[in-house]
Amino acid sequence: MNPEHASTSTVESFEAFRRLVLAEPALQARLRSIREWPPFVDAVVDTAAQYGITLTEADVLAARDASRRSWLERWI
Amino acid sequence: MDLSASPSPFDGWTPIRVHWRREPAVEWCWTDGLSFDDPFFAQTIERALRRPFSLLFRRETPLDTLDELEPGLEPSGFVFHVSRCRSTLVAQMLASVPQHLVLSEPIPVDHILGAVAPEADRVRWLRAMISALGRRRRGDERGYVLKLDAWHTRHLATIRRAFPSVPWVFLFREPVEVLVSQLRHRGAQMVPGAIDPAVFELDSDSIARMPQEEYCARVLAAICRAALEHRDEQALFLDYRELPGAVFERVLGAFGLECDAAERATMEAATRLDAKNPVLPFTAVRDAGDGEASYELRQAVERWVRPLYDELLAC
Repeated sequence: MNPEHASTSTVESFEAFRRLVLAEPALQARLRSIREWPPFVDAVVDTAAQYGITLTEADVLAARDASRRSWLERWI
Repeated sequence: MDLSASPSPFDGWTPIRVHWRREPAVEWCWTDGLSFDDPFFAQTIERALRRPFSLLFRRETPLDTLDELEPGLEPSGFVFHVSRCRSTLVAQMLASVPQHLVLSEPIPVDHILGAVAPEADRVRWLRAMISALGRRRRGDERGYVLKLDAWHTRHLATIRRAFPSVPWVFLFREPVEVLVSQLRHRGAQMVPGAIDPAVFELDSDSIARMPQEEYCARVLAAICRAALEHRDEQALFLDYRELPGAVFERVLGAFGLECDAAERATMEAATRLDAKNPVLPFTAVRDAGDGEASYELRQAVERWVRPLYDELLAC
């Protein structure tokens, strides 16, 4: 598989999971209660899988880095 | 705050910026449990973003539907300023009372004021955004104050249209002292081109050729001129030398904020700290004035700012 397509697919998967979480207050409450990154990443991967969305630890960390960059680059 | 038990899906969320796309969108961050008592709004958001959920699960809503939210607090007052004049201290003093919601240079307000759009839209968006930012978080709030960016004084016309009966304070200081501080460490408005020069009645060609002292003096002059042009019965003009005492003697009253002795003591304690870095004590040396002013700077101040400063002192 072309890594670029894989990356796009990963982004789409994470976005699908993000939309799912933002539509479900109970999911939000569950994830908000986890304040440390390692168990949070595990919870995201596990929860996504329960909803048929495949995410790896690397996918979640990539989304984290992209989100940080988006905030840091807000002046650009 | 338990979102599932709250009446609004936006409880616990704070708007943090506006994305100017084909359909402008407001980005929200989960900030529940955080109080906005950092020196600047951006710092509180950065604290929120240290939480995994807040960083990864931000949400967006259309800007045009922002005014459909249930209303937040009405502003008690606005703080405008020339910069480097203890405006952050004023905000920190007011914020030291937990029942005061004080937002210091909130980013989404800057985004709205910087929008190129019909004035009616800017006014509507500004009202909606300030209301959204002013949503109750504690439940016992009894004051809501926004300290704005220095260049927002240039948008007083829009802000007064949006909030004609909200009192406002304009803080100013001896211009040589302001500009010595700015040349030492510049704010955005003092970096040519960082903010549209038209905001300061300047143009790109002329600022490219202008000496830095003249550019900075003319920006400061434009800010002072805007405050003077919009002065009305809701305005309170305060010189730096009147602070911090004037916060107790004049600002609280102007904003309709009543504070008991314990709250005043808390506010007084805030004056002993460095307002921009509260882990450090305030030192007069760091706040030193005009000893570094060059001849060119003094000349630029005399030409562009001095008459306006004299007029401010007479207010």
